[in-house]
Amino acid sequence: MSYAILVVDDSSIVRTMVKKSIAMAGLPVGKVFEAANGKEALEVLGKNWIDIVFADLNMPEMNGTELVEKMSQDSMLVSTPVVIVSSEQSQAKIDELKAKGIRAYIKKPFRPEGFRDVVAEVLGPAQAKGGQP
Amino acid sequence: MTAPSNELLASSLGEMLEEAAFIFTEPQDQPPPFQGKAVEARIGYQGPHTGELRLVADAGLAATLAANLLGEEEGDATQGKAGDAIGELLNMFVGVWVVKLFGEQSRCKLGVPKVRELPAAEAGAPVKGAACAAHLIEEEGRRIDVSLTLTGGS
Repeated sequence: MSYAILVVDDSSIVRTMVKKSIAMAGLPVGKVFEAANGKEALEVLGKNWIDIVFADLNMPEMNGTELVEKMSQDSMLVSTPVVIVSSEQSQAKIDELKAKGIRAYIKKPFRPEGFRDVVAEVLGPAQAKGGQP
Repeated sequence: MTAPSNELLASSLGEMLEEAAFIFTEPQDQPPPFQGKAVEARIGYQGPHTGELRLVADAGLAATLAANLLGEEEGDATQGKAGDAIGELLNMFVGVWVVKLFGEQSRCKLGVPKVRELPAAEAGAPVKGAACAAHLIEEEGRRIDVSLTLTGGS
């Protein structure tokens, strides 16, 4: 089985960094979708089955917090796991997002190992094989 | 709460460049002028005080930053990514900066980076009203500046 992932960030560099890190984490990736903000992400989510979303917080048009709120109000999207990948380091903000339903939080700058641990936590240990021979 | 200072700006940016992009720098009080084009990024934040951070980097250094962030050699894969790289460096930096100033439990609003290219003469000019500023030089002698302008209280 391979997973469909959605990477949401207004920086094309970060989208590429996230995609590379996920590949290095050993996640069996099928389709990879990209969006530059929350609004674009909702359009992708409305048209495609997505197994896991990696989203930034501070983006133009619709930010990551608004995206999480919209997804939590949609019966088709409420169970789709969202991992926030952001430069915000505030524990208060992270706690607020966890209360809104995000599954994990990765602080920028990040390392690929961080993605491996998060993938294991969110999708189960068997899906994260990075670092194994 | 920690007061912003030139030294804190320099050390924080130096640490970020090392950790995120394997670029090693030293602070320098009298830096060489920018050569050719430079790339500028600005980002605002609101917390116990309101401020704007500005980064200006030599365009060549910005291109190296893009390559290092992507784990690629400089070339086709990193072409045209210099501005995005400086914007993302500043985006990462502001997150660390507000925690250093205000602590992990503080609530801050962070903005979105605005990036533009600018000529060397404009890049090296002092920022009017800056509360603090620092110049860093990397191993190949290329320059990156950081400054903070306070724009108001909370």
